[in-house]
Amino acid sequence: MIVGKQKPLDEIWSMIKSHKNVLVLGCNTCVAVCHEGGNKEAEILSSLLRMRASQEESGIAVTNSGVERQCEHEFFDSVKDAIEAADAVLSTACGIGVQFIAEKFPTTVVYPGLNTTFLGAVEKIGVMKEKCQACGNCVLGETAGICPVARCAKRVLNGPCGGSTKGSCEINKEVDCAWQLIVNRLNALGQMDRYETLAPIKDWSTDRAGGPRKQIREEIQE
Amino acid sequence: MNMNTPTNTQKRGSVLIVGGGIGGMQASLDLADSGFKVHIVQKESSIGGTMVMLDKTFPTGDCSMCMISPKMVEVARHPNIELHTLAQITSVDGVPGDFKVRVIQQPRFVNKDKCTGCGLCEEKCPKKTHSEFEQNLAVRKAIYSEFSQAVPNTRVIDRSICLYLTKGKCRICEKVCTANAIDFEDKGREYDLEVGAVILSPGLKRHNPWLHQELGYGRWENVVTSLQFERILSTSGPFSGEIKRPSDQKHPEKIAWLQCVGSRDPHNANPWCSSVCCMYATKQAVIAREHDSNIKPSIFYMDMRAFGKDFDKYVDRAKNEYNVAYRRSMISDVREDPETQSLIVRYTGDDGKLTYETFDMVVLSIGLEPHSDVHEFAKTFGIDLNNHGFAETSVFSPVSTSREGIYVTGTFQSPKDIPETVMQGSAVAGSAMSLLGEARGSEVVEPVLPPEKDIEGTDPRIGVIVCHCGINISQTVDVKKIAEDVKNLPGVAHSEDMMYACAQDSQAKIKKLIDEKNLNRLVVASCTPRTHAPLFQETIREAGLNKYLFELADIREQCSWCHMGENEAATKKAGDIVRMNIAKVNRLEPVTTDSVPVTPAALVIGGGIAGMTASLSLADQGFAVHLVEKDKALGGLLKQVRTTLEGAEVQDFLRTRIYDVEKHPKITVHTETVIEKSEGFVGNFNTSLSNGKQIEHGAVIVATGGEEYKPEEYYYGENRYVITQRDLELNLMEKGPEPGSSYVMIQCVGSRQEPVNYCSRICCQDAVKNAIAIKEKDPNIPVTIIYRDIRTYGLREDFYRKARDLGVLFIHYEPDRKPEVTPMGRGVSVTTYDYMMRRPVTFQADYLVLSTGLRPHPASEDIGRRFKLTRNADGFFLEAHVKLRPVDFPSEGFYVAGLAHAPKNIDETISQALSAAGRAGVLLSHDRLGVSGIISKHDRDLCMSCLACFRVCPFDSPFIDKDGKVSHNEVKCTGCGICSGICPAKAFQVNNFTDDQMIAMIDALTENIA
Repeated sequence: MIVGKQKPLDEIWSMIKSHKNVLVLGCNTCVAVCHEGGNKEAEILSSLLRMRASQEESGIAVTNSGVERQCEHEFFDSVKDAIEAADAVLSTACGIGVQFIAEKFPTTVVYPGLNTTFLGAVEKIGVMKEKCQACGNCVLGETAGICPVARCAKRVLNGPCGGSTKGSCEINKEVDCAWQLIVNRLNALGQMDRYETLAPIKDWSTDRAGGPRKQIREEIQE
Repeated sequence: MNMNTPTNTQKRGSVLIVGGGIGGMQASLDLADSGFKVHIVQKESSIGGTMVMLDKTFPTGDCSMCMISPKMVEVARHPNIELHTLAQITSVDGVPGDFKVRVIQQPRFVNKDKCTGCGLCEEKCPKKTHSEFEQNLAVRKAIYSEFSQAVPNTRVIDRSICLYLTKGKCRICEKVCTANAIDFEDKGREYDLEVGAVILSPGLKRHNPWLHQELGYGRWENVVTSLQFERILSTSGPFSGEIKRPSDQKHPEKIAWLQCVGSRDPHNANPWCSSVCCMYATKQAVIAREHDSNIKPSIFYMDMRAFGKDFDKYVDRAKNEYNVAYRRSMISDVREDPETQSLIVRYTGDDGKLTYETFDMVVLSIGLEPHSDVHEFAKTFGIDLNNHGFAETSVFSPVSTSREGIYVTGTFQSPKDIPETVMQGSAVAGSAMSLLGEARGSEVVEPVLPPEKDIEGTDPRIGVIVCHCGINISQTVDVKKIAEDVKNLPGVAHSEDMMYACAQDSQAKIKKLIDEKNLNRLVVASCTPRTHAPLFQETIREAGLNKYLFELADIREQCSWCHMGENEAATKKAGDIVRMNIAKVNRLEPVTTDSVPVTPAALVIGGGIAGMTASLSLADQGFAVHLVEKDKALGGLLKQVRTTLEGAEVQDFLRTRIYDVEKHPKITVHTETVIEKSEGFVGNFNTSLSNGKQIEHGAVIVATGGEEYKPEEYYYGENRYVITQRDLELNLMEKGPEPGSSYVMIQCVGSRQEPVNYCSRICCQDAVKNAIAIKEKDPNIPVTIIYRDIRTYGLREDFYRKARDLGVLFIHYEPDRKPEVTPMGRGVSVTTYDYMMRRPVTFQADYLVLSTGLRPHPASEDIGRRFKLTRNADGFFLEAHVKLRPVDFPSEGFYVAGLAHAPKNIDETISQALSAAGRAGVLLSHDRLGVSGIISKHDRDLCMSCLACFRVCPFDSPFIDKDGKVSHNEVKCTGCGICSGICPAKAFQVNNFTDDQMIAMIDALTENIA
């Protein structure tokens, strides 16, 4: 799941304050589950902005709406009119949604309401943790199901490094050493022999190093 | 054999409850909720008892009144409960199942059907006297209600001081009463009631400390009783919750609590321990510090009897976090310093020397004792009393009196605290249900209601009633203006003001309005919804409207009362409140309530005395019971106990009970069986057992029991001369004490300190019991008990005294100076520090006996996990509320009894088992279980199964369904609204508290601002 976090209200206000008519647009999928950018959060944010507008005696009008997912064309049909009527849209989707609006509505200003933080899992309610970096070349089969690319600060593929102390990473005691976790789990699985196998140099061309990525599923492509 | 002897007479489906304190109220609600007609006879003008006078209750610090007053309202409104206040019983005839009782009711002089409780009469009444409720710290009038939340909510005239009734002049109340409720001709009445069973819950009176002249009560103004101190602490009390001393209203700094005033004192007062004072003094000291951090509390005591669940932890917190000083010393004298009116307390200090210390205030922890007319009371009901004047009961049937069909509960049985009183309240209800089982439902009437009008698709036509409440509202708020102002608001079809919206004639008027003006929604602007919303809901339902099409706008408690004298601002605010409610009511929809069937059977887990007792009680009530026991045979921990402290034969009783359980046609016993799997929810569980049986049941009683601690301390297991109390008990029964031998006992071995910081409650008595057994056989055998606090609470104190009289030596120790034990060739040598002599002393003993206490049963962990039932840090199951729901779990349909809940004695285990059976009986007596109207509704189309609700719901009502998505079980939902707050998709909306209704209210309030 894509995880996001709402930007500070001051930052949002400074982006939109010069406009007359702002639409706060929620995205009801990933960022809704994070309790950061769903349609309900968009409603709350727009209410906060209206209060701010009234405190600052600004004439700005703030309304809100939302769609199921801001990364697919068809969902925008229901809010097309509202977007075109606004002179700026504050999207509470992830960065994908913000760009999607920018492409779809060439004459509408669009601002991000969230910082897209990472791809992660819901550990428990209110706690999200990064698990994947979308490197495009999954190594989890070799690393006992724990990703050294996303969860090791150095992305070491033959770890741990010398900074691993009592199971923690040297950058912060609160961060588990991914390689310690890998070793523990290999041990538990009785596969410590696999730890001996050296990982070859990783092909990073599928990662960001190869530039923006695109993927086509030929048989269902329209 | 049943626990009740079967009788041939036709049984009545009604029960008389004498005394409407918290115990009587619990019994009446349980009985009334399960289809019995209940008559509560109360001597005073209001129900409530002692608990209403208390400020807060420990350990949670909950306001006592806030907990009890909803219960009182529930009692007052219950269609199956009839209240007879100012009444007493004068005779009881008949047989169990069919009694005839004579009631004498004193005149109230106020017609409670006409009285609206506005209180104008009380305000104008010229005659004052001391308020009993405020413990003489404040005054009341001759026409009064005991306290402002009194039930019934009406006044009474005190004929001993009323000017008209004593001198023939005045009648002011009559003149000012606009409801015509004053009736000086009231002569009271005498009448008969016919009931199937009688429950006695008269409570106790408090000891009068005036008898102890040396303590200065009644002489020195700043010596108060503990109950007076409760009133001083109370925000609604005489000093509005500020801690002041009576003489000069100054804030005291040093306050001393003197324990055991009137208790544990056979020469000057009562010989028993009152059971509650150690904890209430601790609570008062803690709360006093919370009110005013300058206060330095000291508690002077003999033994700190913190024997209940988590009590020791509370005392530790008082010591460590609130700096409450505990001093083990009794007070011989209190004198007043005439200049400062402070008090000089004389006591023996820690150094053994006579000490004089000055305190600003002294609180006497007065004990409990039977009412002074108790002998006559007992004669009226034909029951026996014990030698102290408490109802005679036995260890094995703790809530049955000597007369069949008459039960006793609460402090009249023995001194006890609130949770145990509540527990016994449900226990007597359970016992009465067992006796009258077949007559359930025979005397209650279901009201006949017209069909509900279908309002779908019609525009709102709202009626608005603005109430004057006599002058309660109208002297501050311009009621007529408000009624006028809202006339043209959207949706409003009619608006008017009424003198008393809640009066009988107003109800008729409202019904007529609904009919004539074709209203489909109603707003009443008056007092608190807590007491009055149900009344108006009933009224509109009788007029054919869904009862949820109503809203009460509180313009009294939340407006006129708190803004007295600020008429303009108050009127504006009242207008806002009414407009908000009109905006909401425009959006109200009828709420249909659902119901689910109930399987009339129970699963009881654990075949010890708790499980067996609960099973028998439920089976006698007529329900099928599945009793699951993992061992080969029934009996549990009790198999190892020979006699009780009182000398009753345990094994005889146990054998009879096992026999009764095994041959009861309604009980299926599954021994050597555990639970494999259980699914379902309240009323509808389905459980698979390890013996292959599948059972369907509506309730679960958890009675998993406990086990005795096998000590590792003091060479136990290594040295044959070191034994436990249980080993000793067996030895004494089989062989008796060895002539010429000697015994030393050490208390609290492995208890009352981290990590096992709780009192096991039974060990002091076990030690005393065994010591007495030795001494009675051979007075020459030396027995020494080395203890921390002797906790022979309640009437058990008799046996502590007896042990002392027999020559048993008691020596106190503190945990930082534990006794030291050295094994000898035969026997042991024990050295302990003697605080009296201020030096170590050594005893040679043939036997060292360790008092080892109880632990929760290891099986509790698995049961807890399986049914999602929480346990406390010590591993005992956690009840729904420590005071008022002592046998319920937070999850509906689950009940706890016995050692699974906390360490306790046999009689207490039996009480709690009967209580769990009573509570389960209430549930199982319903064919169907109604789902409340105010619940959260789940919209599966909006839901994205993010699981936020699933994770936060305390009642497990959202669940992952067969499709792997979130669904909602409305039966479990309590309407708390946590899910609707957290749901990011707004898929949950609480009926009558939906987002659009709330937003409409806020908009209505804010549209005039800016």
